[in-house]
Order: sequence, then structure tokens, then C-alpha cells
Amino acid sequence: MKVHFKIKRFNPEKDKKSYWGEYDVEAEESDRVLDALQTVKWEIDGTLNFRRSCAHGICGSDAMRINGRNSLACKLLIRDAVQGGKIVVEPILGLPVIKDLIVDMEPFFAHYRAVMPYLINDTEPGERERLQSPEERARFDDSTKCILCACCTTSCPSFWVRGDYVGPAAIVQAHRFIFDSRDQGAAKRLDVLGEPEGVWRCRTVFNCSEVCPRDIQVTQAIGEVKAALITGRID
Amino acid sequence: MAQYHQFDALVVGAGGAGLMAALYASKSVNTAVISKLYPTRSHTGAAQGGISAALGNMEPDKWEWHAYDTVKGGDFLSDQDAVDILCKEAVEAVIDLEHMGLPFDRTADGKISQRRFGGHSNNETKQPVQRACHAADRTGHMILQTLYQQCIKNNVRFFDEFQMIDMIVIDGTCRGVVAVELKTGEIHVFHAKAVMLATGGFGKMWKISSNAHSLTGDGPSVALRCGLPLQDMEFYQFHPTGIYKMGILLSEAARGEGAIFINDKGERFMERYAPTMKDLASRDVCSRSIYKEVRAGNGIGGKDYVYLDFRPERINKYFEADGNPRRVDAEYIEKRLPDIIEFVRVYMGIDPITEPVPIQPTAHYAMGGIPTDLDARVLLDENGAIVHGLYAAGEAACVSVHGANRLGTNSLVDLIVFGRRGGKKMAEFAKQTEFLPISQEVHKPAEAMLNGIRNNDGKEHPGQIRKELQLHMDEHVGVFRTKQGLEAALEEIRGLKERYKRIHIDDKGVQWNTDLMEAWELGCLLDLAEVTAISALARQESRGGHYREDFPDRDDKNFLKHTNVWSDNHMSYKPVRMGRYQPTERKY
Amino acid sequence: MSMIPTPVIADNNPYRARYLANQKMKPRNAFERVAWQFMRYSGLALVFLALSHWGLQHLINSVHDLTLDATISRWGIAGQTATLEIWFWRAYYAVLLGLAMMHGLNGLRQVLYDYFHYRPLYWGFMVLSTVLIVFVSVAGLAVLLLGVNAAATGAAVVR
Repeated sequence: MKVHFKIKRFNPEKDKKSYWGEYDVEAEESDRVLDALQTVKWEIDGTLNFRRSCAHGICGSDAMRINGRNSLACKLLIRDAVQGGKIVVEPILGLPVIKDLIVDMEPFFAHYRAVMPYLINDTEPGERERLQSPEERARFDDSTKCILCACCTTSCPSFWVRGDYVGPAAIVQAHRFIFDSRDQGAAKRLDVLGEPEGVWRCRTVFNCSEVCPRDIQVTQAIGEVKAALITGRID
Repeated sequence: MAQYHQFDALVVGAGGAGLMAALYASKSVNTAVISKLYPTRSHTGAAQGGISAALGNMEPDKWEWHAYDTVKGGDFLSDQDAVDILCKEAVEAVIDLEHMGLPFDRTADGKISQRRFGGHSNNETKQPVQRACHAADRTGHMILQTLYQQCIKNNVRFFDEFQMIDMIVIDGTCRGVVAVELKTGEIHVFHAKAVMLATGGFGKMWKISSNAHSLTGDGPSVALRCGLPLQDMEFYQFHPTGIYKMGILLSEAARGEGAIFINDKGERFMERYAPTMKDLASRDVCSRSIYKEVRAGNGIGGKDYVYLDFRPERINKYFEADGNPRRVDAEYIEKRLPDIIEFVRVYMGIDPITEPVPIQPTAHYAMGGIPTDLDARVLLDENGAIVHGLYAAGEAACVSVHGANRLGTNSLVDLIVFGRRGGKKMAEFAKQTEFLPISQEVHKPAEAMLNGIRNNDGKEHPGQIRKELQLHMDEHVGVFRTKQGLEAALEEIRGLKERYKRIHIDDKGVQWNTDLMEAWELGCLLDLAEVTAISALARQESRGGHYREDFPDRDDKNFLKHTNVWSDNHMSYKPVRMGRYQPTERKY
Repeated sequence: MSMIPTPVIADNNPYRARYLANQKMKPRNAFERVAWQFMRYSGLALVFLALSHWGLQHLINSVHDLTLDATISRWGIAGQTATLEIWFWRAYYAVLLGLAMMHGLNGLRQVLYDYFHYRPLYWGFMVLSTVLIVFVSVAGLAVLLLGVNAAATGAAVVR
């Protein structure tokens, strides 16, 4: 089927403002939006730039706004994306656009690093694995799925308005450790998240949960962190 | 003008092997990692099934059995001293990962859960053994994230989205790399005492592949261009279960949990090809069996694919027939294989719990690559001379542990074990050596090459050349190979290399020029395709992943050796380092 | 299968016990946390108070009954000894007014903080809003405590 693509273009070396590129692509219904973008790049206009790698929704490179909604271009199929024969593709919001669909991910990763997203445990682990029951493992299973694609954070109005909000992704990553029974650094992370730019900027808009390509219950995870801050308990 | 950096140890590639090496090297020397992707985008994250280690948490297991399985899986081409190290250190490696925080699935008594996997057996009963430690079906994602998290904790220095385009190799010593900063297009020279190449595989040579678009063999290709040999390039693994037409991987873990292959007649055809292990035979055996069925006209609807059946009632039926007391239900399958079930639902629109899934073999893993010794040091030739200051680990390297075919879950072990060994060795080396001098102009050849591609005004389109390369490779250098096919492929590839010289790209800019980078990567693929075809042509036997229809038997007398090939196409051979196991007939 | 010595269930997990004992969970700067909790508690209370007020004014009474005299009789005039009922209504409306003003002021603070990135502008609007809201609150409380007539007299004096 023929699909008409409207893609937001911007070349920092030539353009003062962004503009729309229009391309007609022949695509199967079962193709991914990424496949169509690559057809544009390889057959129509080689100057189109976007990040991509795994092409099956695991690496998180190709987060974009497709028809106004954040998704991974490699996970969204043409038949689910096309509206009236058209697909509109833009870069994700809230992060500076570098070129075409490529945004500067540094602020996003800086927020990620700020929540100390690594296991903190100073006790001697011993020769074998630390033990953890299946229930304890299941407690934080949802937040281990995060691939740092930035769909959630860049769909959050609080983040758009004020980029110093740590964002849903960072909170999910912190949640993964706070509720991991092997971790001892919950207090430190909760300190970071308890600041004005932390978890309190969440207004429970739910955009994050809606767009997460891994179906993580992001708002619920944020809610659990808020509960931990209020009650002072983690369970 | 180029920007200049100096580091004791430099790791190129931020996948499992690269991050592990960087983590260990950074404990004692000034280390940096350069990667053309953000580290968490690396393809290690796509690995699904598990990481094998003889922990023995579920049933008795020994590292010696793991070693034998690996050697047999490698069709006896694996260097057995390397395999011993792999399997012995696997236990420590997995425990190390858990200590770093990796969220493994757990047994009821809190230990790491293990599942069955293709080719892994209890050597006494000859039945599949539960050896693969897993985190749902996203073990690779967990490993990559955990390692990256540890690197953040240890303040490892990262240069993200820097693409290596050249290596500085002078008089048998490696002194650094030249890279492009993708964001600005600037050239950077990284002067280092020790460099490790951990750039991953090169599955993008084939059309139907499980590999990411970024896997274009940058490391091996650059090594080839610097006059270094590549080893065992003819051995490439075609994973049996890729989603039909898309190549997306459905992990072997599915078969570990009980899924089976069925043909058009609904029969479990693996019973005929591998009577003992059946659907858990090693991957090359499964891929060939699938194509043999297709050729015999038993493909679904007569077409070129078969089904992978996850339906609980079917799985239980075959467990019963095998005398296996295990039973599964829909909930169990959904819990153990959530990601691959989602792939099938999203990309095929079918529900694997109620319908069988169309699959076909997909180009998956490179057993060959940059030859190294047991400490990840790159070898200069077949006699064991090393290149001072150069290391390689992961899929880009060939130690060789996987021999002619890799067992599932062994790649993740390989990354951790040899990544760590390499990292430690790099640090040791860096501490006892000085920086070797490099000239101010060392980046000029690479810069000129890039500008050459950028400004070339030929007529050939990189996308078209890549398409043709992939089609030829799929057809002639795939699961089944013949002399005529390989010769035809070689001729085509050389023709494409000629046409590549007249390439033309649309984007003439400097900043974030993915057009240019993809064209450069295509050059890498062409180089590697040529040496793959040549090596395959020269190996007149069938072993592991390399199957010659004109030489269908394994020939230990003449070919129990590793192929070393150089960019000028001359080859030499190196004997396999044997150990406890002598080659026997490889039956599953 | 026997349970191994190391406990695996959350309650007697040695790691968790250790950090609960050693670490303080609540962060030092508790303002935002308390503000968040206040918004929820006051919001809940306001829903009840405002709906009841509406019910009282429009369902139990009717719009025709909304006169100054009705309000005077409910809140009492200056000098009149207030009954328990009068004090109840004074308290009711004091709480409604106070919570609504604080809830609103905090909400306004969050919106201003989100949108005004230039500090002086933020503080300017913040001060202005606070002054207005405090004035309304104080005026309202004065009416409630001194009685409606006092306010009416005060208004007449001003005129």
C-alpha cells in the first residue's frame, strides 16, 4: 500500500528552522514504521537521519513521535500507524533536536545517573549467589524491563515544561533498586527523588504508562516511590 | 585537525565484552570506552535465553560436562584449553554478575533458576540438563544493563556515539584508534597503550538476520585493513528460529521450555534428525533439518518455513511421549517467555499460545573473527605471535571457544569470561609499558577515506549494493553451500567491491551524517563477505555451521584446523588445540 | 526440601533489616513531600466541604434564600452571643476558606514554578499571589469572627 510520510526535518548546518519533508513510500501493512523510514533513507532521500539498531523493540534507539504519540518506530506496524494513508513522524519532545529525528539524549542520561542506578550493597556476598525468593524477585520485575528509550520522560508534560524534573524513566530505574531486596541504598535514592525535581513533579498525567513500549506500569511505580517517601517503608 | 586523547586502556564497543573489560581495566588504569551507540543500545541486550554455568542449582551438573558439550557443539574445532577456561570460569562469572545486581529468576529456595537449552546435556544420562541461568527471556538485556550500571558506579569514562574508523597499528604494535564523533563530525585520535576491539558481529551481510543494523563488523574489518588475519570466517551460525521473513529471533529458550518444531504434516520431524536431544539438538543441526524438510516438500503449505509450536497442550503431549514428568500451562509459558510471546503477537499478529508460529533459520552469530589467545591478546599470524597492545573479546573475537558452531547461552559466558580476562590483561600490560609515539598526521588516511566517500560523485547507490550483497550471501553463503555457489558469490562480491568505489551518497554534511557512516559500514561488510566466501570455498568439508553439499562429511584428517585469512586473500591454517576429547561422530 | 539457613522472605531479610536500622528514610528537605500530602488531604476535605456547601445552598435551601440576612443569621452579628450552631458554621466556613486558599496558593506555586523559569518573575508573581490570598483569607476570617454586620458596617463606612 502507498503511505504518505510527513517527517520533521532539520539540518543544523543549513536550516534556521525545521520544516516538513513529504515522501510517498510503498509499504506492506505488516512492515514496521522503521522499515518505511529506511526505505525513505535508502531510496528517496539519504539525508534523513534517525537512530536505530535492533529493529525489534529491545534497544530503545528509535523512540519518535508518530502521529503525535511517542513510540518505538520498530515496534509500530504500518497498519497500526497509518491514518488516512498518512503517517506523521517527529522527534520526541523536551530534548534539544540535533538533526532531523535525532535529539540530544544527554539530559535524559544525566537524570538517569543522578538516581544512582546500580546495586548498593556493602555486605560481603560470599562464595555463591545472594539468595532472593521468587516473590522478592517479582516485586521489582516490572521496572527491570526498562530499556531507557525515553518515550515516557519525553511524553511527560512536567518534563516538557521544566527539563530538570528527573522524569519517569529515572524514577522507574530507581524503583528497580529500591524494591530489590538485595539493595541497601534505598535511602540515598529516596533523598534524590524526594527533592523538588524528583518524584513530586509527577502530576499523575499517565502519559508515561500509555506510551511505554515495554508496557511498564510507570505511574504505578512512581506512586510506589511516593508511598515509600511518605510512609518511610518499603514493602 | 583532530582532537587528541590519551588513555592507558581503550575499549572499542560497549556491549557485554567491552563493558566487562572496561569495568576490570578501570579498577587500576585510566580507561575509556568508545561506542558508536549509547551502551545500552548494544546488541548484547537482544540476547534472550540465558547464560550457562554449571552451578548445579536444579540438578547435578559439572563444568567438565559443559566443556564437553561446548566442544561437541563446536564440532571439535574448539580449542579445548580455551573451552576449559570458559566453562570453569563460567560459574564464577555468573555469581559475579549476580553480585553486581543482575536480577536472575529464582528457584523456590532463592537460588538462581536454570533452564534446559540446546546442546547442553548431562554427560552421563545424555539427557538435556538445566544449565542456562536466566532472567525471564531477557537475560542479555539484564546483563547489559547491570554492566552499564556498574560502569556508572565506577565512573568509567564513556565516549558515546563515537565511531571507530581506523586503528593505529605500527610495526606489530597497536597504539590507538581514530574515531569520528558522530554529533559534530570531528575526527578524534585516541592514543592508548592497550586497545580492545569488542565491536560485535556482522550479521548484516545476510538479508534474513537476527542482527541489529549496527552490526557491520567494524572491528574485524578494521583489523583486516591493518594487515591482521581473521580466523574461521566460514563458520557462521544460522539460528533455527527466526520469525519468518523478518529474521527476528525467537530464543532457543522456547524449546528449552518444551516448544517443538513441526512440519506441514504436523510431525515432530526432529525425532528423525536428532533422536536423543530432538528439538534441543545444536542450532546448526536444527537449521539444516528445517531446510531438509523444506526441500523434501514438508514446509508449511509447501513454502520455505516450518512451525515452532508453543501450545501448552502440544508441549505436554510430547513431554508425556518422552516420559518427562514436566507439564506446562498457558500461564507458565507467558511467565517464562514474555518477550518472545510479545514479538510474535506484535510482529505476526498471532498468539503463540493458541497457534503455531512460522519460523525460518536466520543469520545469527559469527563463530569466527579476530584471532586471540587465552588472554584476549590478538594474534598476528598462525604461529602465535601477538600484536602488542591489541586485544579482542566477544563476538568480534575468535579464541576459539565456539569452534564450528556455538551452543546457545555460551556467547554471554564468552563475553563475561574473556571480557574480564582481557580487561585485566590490558591493565597489567598498560601498567608496565609506556606510550609508543604516534605522528600528528595519523588520522589523515582515515579522514581522507571518509571525505572520499562523502564527496565521491559516482552513480552507485549504497542501499542498492547492500541489498544485492545480502541477497547473494543468503543464496550462496547460507546454510547450504556448494563450490559453484561460493564461486558465484565471490565473483558477485568482488563486482560489488568494484562498484563500491563509484558510490555516491546524498548527505554531504559533517554533523550526524548517517548516510556517510552507513556507506563506510557497507565497505566493512564487503571486505568481510569476501574473506567469508574465500574461507568457505577453501574448506572442503562440512563441520558445524559450515555445510558443503559437495563435501557433506566432516574430514578430521585434513581439516581439523583453523582458517586464517588476510585481506589480500592469502590463507594459512592453524591446528586445533586438543585436550581431553578426541573427535567423535556428532549425533544428537 | 529443607529451608536453608539464610532467610529469603522480606520480613527477616538481613539486608533490609540492616538498612532500616541504619538509615533514615525521610529526606532532609521535607517541604515538597509535606506539600504533596497537604494537597491530597486538603483536596479530599475540600471536596466534602464544597459539595456540602453547595448542597446546603441549592438543594436544602434554594437560590432565593441566598440573602445577606440569611448569612447574618447563620454566622451571627457583632455583639450577639454566639450559639453552638453559629460557632459550628463559623468553623465550617473558616476551614473551607482556609483550606481552599492554601490549596490554591500551593497549586499556584507549582504552576508558577513550572512556567516561570526567570527567578525574579517567579518571585514577583509568587509574592503578589501570596499577598492577595492572605488578604482574602484574613478578611474572610475577620468576617467570620466578628460577625457579618461588622463587615457590612465597615463597608458602609468605606462608602
